[in-house]
Amino acid sequence: MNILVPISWLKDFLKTEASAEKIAETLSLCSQSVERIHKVGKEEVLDIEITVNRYDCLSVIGLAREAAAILPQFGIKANFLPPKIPLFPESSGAKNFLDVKITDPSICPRFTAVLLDEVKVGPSPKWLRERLNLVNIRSLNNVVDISNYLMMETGQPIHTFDFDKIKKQKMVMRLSKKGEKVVTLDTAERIFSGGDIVIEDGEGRLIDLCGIMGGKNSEIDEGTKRVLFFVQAYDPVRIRKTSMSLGLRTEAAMRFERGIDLEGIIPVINRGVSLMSQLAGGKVTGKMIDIYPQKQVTEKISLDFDFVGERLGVNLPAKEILKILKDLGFSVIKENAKGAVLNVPSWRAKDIKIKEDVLEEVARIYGYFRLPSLLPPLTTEFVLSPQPAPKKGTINPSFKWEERIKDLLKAFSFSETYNFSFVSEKDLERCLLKKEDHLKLANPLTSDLEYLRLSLFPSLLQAWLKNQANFSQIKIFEMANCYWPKKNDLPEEKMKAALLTNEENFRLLKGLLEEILIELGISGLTFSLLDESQNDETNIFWQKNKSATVKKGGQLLATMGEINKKILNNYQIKTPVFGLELEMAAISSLANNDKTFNPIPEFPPIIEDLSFVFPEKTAIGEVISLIKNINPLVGKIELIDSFKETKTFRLIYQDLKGNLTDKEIKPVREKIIESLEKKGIKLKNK
Amino acid sequence: MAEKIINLKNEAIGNILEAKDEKELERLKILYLGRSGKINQLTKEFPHFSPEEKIKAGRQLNETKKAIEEALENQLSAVSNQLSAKEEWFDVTEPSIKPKIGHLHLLTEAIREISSVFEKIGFVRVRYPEVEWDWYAFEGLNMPSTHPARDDFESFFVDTPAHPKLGRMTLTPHTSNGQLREMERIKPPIRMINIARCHRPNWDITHTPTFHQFEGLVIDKGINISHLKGIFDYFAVNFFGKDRRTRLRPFHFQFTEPSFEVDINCPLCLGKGCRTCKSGWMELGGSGMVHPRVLENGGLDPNIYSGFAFGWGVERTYIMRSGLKLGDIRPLYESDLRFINQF
Repeated sequence: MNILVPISWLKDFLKTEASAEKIAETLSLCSQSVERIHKVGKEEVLDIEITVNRYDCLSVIGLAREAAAILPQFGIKANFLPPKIPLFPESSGAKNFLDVKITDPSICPRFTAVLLDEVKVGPSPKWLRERLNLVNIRSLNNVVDISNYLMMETGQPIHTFDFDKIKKQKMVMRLSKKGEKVVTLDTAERIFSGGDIVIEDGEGRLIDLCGIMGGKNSEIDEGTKRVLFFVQAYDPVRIRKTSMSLGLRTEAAMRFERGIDLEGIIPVINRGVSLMSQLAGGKVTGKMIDIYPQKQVTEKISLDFDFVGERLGVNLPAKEILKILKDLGFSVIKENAKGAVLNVPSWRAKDIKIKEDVLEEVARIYGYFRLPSLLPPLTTEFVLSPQPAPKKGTINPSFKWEERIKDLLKAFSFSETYNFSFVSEKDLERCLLKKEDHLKLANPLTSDLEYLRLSLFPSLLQAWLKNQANFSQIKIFEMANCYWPKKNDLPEEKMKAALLTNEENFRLLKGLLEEILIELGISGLTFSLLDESQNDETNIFWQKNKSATVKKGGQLLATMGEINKKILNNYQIKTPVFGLELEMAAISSLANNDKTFNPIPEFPPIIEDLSFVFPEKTAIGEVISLIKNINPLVGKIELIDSFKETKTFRLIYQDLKGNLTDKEIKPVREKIIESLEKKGIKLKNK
Repeated sequence: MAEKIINLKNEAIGNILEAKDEKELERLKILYLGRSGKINQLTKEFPHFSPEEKIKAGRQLNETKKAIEEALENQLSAVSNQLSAKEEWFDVTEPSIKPKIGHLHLLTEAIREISSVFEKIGFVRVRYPEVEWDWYAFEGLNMPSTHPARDDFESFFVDTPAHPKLGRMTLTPHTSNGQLREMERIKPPIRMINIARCHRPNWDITHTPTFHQFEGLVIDKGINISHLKGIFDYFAVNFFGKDRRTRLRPFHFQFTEPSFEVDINCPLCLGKGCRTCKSGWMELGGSGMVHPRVLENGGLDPNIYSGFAFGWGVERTYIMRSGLKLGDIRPLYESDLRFINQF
C-alpha cells in the first residue's frame, strides 16, 4: 500500500536540513521505498510504498522516526521530534454513557471511546484542509477531518458517530450473519456473507461496518451535537476478509488489516480530544471507555554482536549496533561485551519477534549498499556419490535431453510454442476427453482456464486455429508438464513434448522420430499399429489404423500418426494433420551420449537392386528384418522404390575381411528369394 | 631450316598474343599444331635432311611446339578471365534462398541462459512440483493460514480433498516450494536453481496466469548477506551486461529474514537517473536470508546453517534485457507464429 507524506508535515516530527530528494533516496535504500516526489505548489509530497509488515510506517510520525535514524548514517544531521501528547481533560457528567457488549474479545483487542458534547460541526480551518488536500483526502467537516488527519499522522484509523443516532445508547459488537445488510457512508447497501465485524445498536439496527466504513444511519451531520470519538483495534484477518469480499479497500481497512499498536491508542485519543475542543468546541463528558483485556506483549530479544557480523559479512562495533537500535526505539535491558538483551518498541510488537528480525534492523539502517559483494566459497568437501534424485521433481541430466530435443525440432523446422497449463470444458469436449479425468481448479480465473491439461494437444490445436489464417503450412510444438491425477496424492507431472504438422506424412514423421532418438543414443524401436483395440483415453487423439505407438523394451516412448479426424472436425480443420507425442521421462531414462566406433570397410561392397511383388497386407518392416537376418554379408538394405505391390530393395553386401565376388553372393541371393517366396513374395522378372 | 622454325615460332606467338577470344585461339591451334598444321608441314621436309640435321631440327621443332602450346594456354586463361568478368556478371545482392529452420521460444532461450549462468558457479538445476501441497508452498515457508498469499484471489487451488497433514492442493504461485523439497533431497552445501511453471490468478500487461520463475537457494555454514550480493552482481554482469550492478532495498517476505527487493541499474544511465527509468534503478525481484523457521521445516539447524534464496520471474527478467523492446508479456503465451518466428 502506498501513502502520501508532505515534507512540511514530516518536518513537524523531523528536524533536518535534508532535501526532499535526499530523504527520498535514503528512505528507499534503508527503509520504505519512495516511488516519486509530487510537487504540489510549493509543497513536496513523498509517494511511499509501505511493506505489509511495517504498519508503524503508515503514518507521518513513523516515517519521521525512520528518517531520523537513517539520515545520520549518510552524514546528515537529523533528530526525531516526538509528538506532544496533551493530558486527558478532567470531566463531569454521566459515567456510563454507553452500554457496550463485545460478543467475542478476539475480534476487538482494544476498544476505546470518548463522548464529546457541545460539538459545533462546520468547516475545518484552512491549514487542516490544505494538509488533507496534499494527501488526497477530501475535506468534509471539522469532525471527520480531525479523524482523518490523525489517521494520516499516527496511522490509527478513527471513527466518529453521532451519539444521538445510537439508539438506547447501546452497542453490541458482534459478527454478522449471512444476508444481513447495512448502508455504509457512501450510501451503498452492503450485504454480508457472515463473519464480518459489525455493531448493532439498542434497536437492533446495524450502525457500523467496523474497521472499514461507518453506517449511514449514525453519521455526523450539520446538526450533530454529541460525538462519540471511537478508536479501536480489530482482528486483522476478519477485516481483510470482509474488505476483500466486499471490494471495499478503504484507508482504514488497509491499516487495520496490517495491525495496530495497542499502546498507541491512548495518545491518539488524547490528541483527538484536544483537537476536537480546539476546532469543534467539543467537551469531554464522562470517562473514557477503555476495554483492553489482554495487554500487548513485546518480545525481549537477546542479540549476539558476533551474530550480526556473521550474517552481514562485516563486523560492526557494538556501539554502532546499539545506537541504530536505540534510534529505532529499542531499549537495552542488559548489555555486556558479547551482546545485549533488547526490548522491542510497542509499535513493532507484531513485526519483531526473533534475533533475525533485529539483525534486519541493524543491517538496513547501516546500509546494504555498504556491504561487500562476494561469491560464496565452493565447498571443500567433494562428494563422489551421484546426487540423489528428488522424490518428486526432476534433476539434471534430464534437462539436457529436453534441450537437445528442442534443438532437433528447431533444426527440423518446427516452431516452439508455450501455452497456459489450463484448458476449458469446451476444449475437452472438442478433444473427446472426459472432464472427470482432469484436475479442476476450485477458483478458476475464467471458465476458459478451468482444468489442468493431461495432454498438450488441446493447446496445440487451439494454436493451430490461431495460425491457420496466416500460414498454409504449420509445424508447431510444445514441451511442458501435463498433470495426471492420482488418488490421494499430488498429480503425476508428466513431461511431454508434442508436435503438429501438415508438412509431414506418417513415413516422414517416423523418420524424424527415429533421427531424434538416434541423436539421443536410442535405437531398436518397435512400432505397433494403433487400432480399435486400444481405445483408452490417452489414444483418443489418434486416427485409428493410421497411427502407432513407439516402444523400446516394452516402454512407451512416443505415439505418432494422424490426428483423429473427428477431433479435427470439431476444430473445423479440414485437411489432415499429423502429430507426435514424446514421453520425456522414458526417453530421458534411455538417452545417452555413448558412442561406439564401427570399422570403416576396406573392401568394396557389391550393390544390387531386387524388385519383388508383395501380396496384399504384407508388413514390409518384417520382410526387411527377415532379409537382414539371412546372412551377415547383407550389410544394408534400403527400400528405394515402391509402386503398388512392387517394392524395390537395394542390397549392399559387404565383407569386412575381403573382396566379395558374385560367386559368394549368389547363394545368399538365392536364400533371400527362397525365403521370401515362402511368404508369397515373388521376385519380379527383369 | 633453323631460321624457318624460328620465324614460325615468332609468327605463331605473335598471333596468339593478339587473339581476343577462344574461337580465334582454337583456329590458331589448328593452324599451327593441327594434323596438317604448319609444324607438321615442316616435318614433311625432314626426309631430305641428314641424320644430324634431323635430330637438331626435331629438337628445335619440339621446343617450338611446347612454346606454342604454352602460349595458347596462357592466352586462353587470360581471354576467359576477361570474358567472365564481362559476360558472367555476378550479383551478390540477389535475395538468398534460406534453408528451412524452426524457432525456439524466447522463454526457452531465457531459461537456457539463466541456468547456464548459475550452473557455471556450481548451482544444480532442478524442477520441483508445479502442483503442490500447501505445506511446501505456504505453511512450511512460514506463511500462516491467514496470510494473504493463501487467499483465493492470490493463488489457484485444486478442487480435491486436502491432505490430512500437508493441507490443500495448490498450483505453486512461486518456485519457493523448491526450497523445502531441496532440503529434503540433500543436506548442505546446497546450491539449487529451480526453474518451473507457476500460476497465479492475474492477467494483464505484465502478468499471465501461467508464468515461470527461477528460484535460487544457497545454504551452507557461514552464508551471509555479502554472498547474496555477490551472486546478484555476478548474475547482473553475466546476464545483463558488464556495466550492470544490483542494489538491495529492504522489503518483507514471510520466508526470508532479512528480506530484500533487488534492483538493477538502468542500462541507459547506469544508475544516475534518466527519462526511461526515473530513479536510475529498476526492480528485478525479491530475495532474502532464509528464515530460521524455514530451515527448521527443512530439517536443518539454523544455529549451524544459514542461507539465502531468491525467486524471480523468467519472463520479467528476460524482457528487462535491453534490445528486446517487448512491453507486454502476454504474446509469449499466445502462440502466434508471426511473433514466435521473429526469434
